[in-house]
Amino acid sequence: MVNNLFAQIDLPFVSHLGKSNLEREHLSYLKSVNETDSVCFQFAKYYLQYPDDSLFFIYFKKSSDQFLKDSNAVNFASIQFTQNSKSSFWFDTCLNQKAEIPRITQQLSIIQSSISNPKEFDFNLLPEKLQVDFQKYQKISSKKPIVALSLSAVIPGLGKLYIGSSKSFALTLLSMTVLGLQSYESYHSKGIAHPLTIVNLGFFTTYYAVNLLGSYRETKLKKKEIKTQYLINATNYYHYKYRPSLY
Amino acid sequence: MNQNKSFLRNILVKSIFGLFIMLWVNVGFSQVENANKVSKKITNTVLAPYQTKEKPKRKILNLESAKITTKLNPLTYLAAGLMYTYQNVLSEQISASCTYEISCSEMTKKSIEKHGLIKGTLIGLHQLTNCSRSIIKDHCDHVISPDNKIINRVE
Repeated sequence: MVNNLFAQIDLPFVSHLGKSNLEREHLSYLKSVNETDSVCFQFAKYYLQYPDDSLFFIYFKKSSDQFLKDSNAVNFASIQFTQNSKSSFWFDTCLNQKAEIPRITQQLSIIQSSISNPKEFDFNLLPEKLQVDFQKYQKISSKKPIVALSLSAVIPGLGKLYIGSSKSFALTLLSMTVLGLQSYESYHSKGIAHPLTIVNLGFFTTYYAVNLLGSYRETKLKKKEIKTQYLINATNYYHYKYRPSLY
Repeated sequence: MNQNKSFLRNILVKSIFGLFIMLWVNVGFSQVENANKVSKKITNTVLAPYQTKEKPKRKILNLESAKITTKLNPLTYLAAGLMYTYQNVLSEQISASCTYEISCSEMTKKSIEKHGLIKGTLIGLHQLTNCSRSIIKDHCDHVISPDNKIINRVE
């Protein structure tokens, strides 16, 4: 590989490479230029376009001043990091800088804060289209897995209704009723020691235990699911409304 | 007492009848999918010499990262063996189709690998009891794949 072939970066050419999605050529060209602040900035943009979070942050640190001046790049990064595990790190870095933060990034940081503290967050701060999703998230975030488990222990499947899975509740209740009646019937007609009763009670107990564990796990999974959906909708909303482009 | 018994029997018969109807509807759904599967199989057989991709082979059990208790438990191997037999013999015979992207049997196997025999089996059974087309409506859009299956992960 040829290194440091060019002393200065050709910005229109880089823009062309970025717009045409020529990944390999783009990278080899950037590697062939002397590493200055503006090249690091271009590298940061490259790792935004072809996502690699750790490399992006390395080059972002090297060229943060220049990067934060480009509002399109900042917005693009904010949209990309909203659904990411490094979102809080990104928004903290952005908000701690002295440079002025673009409006979309500000909005997305509000969404970030709504996730970290949904109970006390005022949903009127969000755009109308995202309010319903946020309310769903707010509702589910207060649900506790242990409560779902206890509810399912009282009435099979009630824990699932508690987290809003009505179809799952109906299916569980129906199956448990059938199994329960079957066990009750065989117990009364054949006695407890009869193999049929033992098999029926075995099925019933296993299903009951499955339902308890299921309610507990499903509450946790549902929380994640609704949070992800909220973030996806927020990202899509800002992406399609403002369409920030890197080049 | 006799009246109570006959009342209970009535309920039992009715509930079993209801269960059969549910099964029948599910079979109906799966048959539509099977028709697509058959056409896919035919194209695959005709184009077999030109295809380079091989089907991924299913491992019986991958216990590399499992606990020692799981590795030493003979019932783990029995359960995995039963799952393997079901996947390779029974599942194809009854042309079973699952609502989830990772099928119920595969999920049971992977959960056993990750959580051990008891918890793994319970997790697999929970998915099996929830394996119905109607459950899809309980999930968010991003968890539903383009072929209308629930995207699940071993957690």
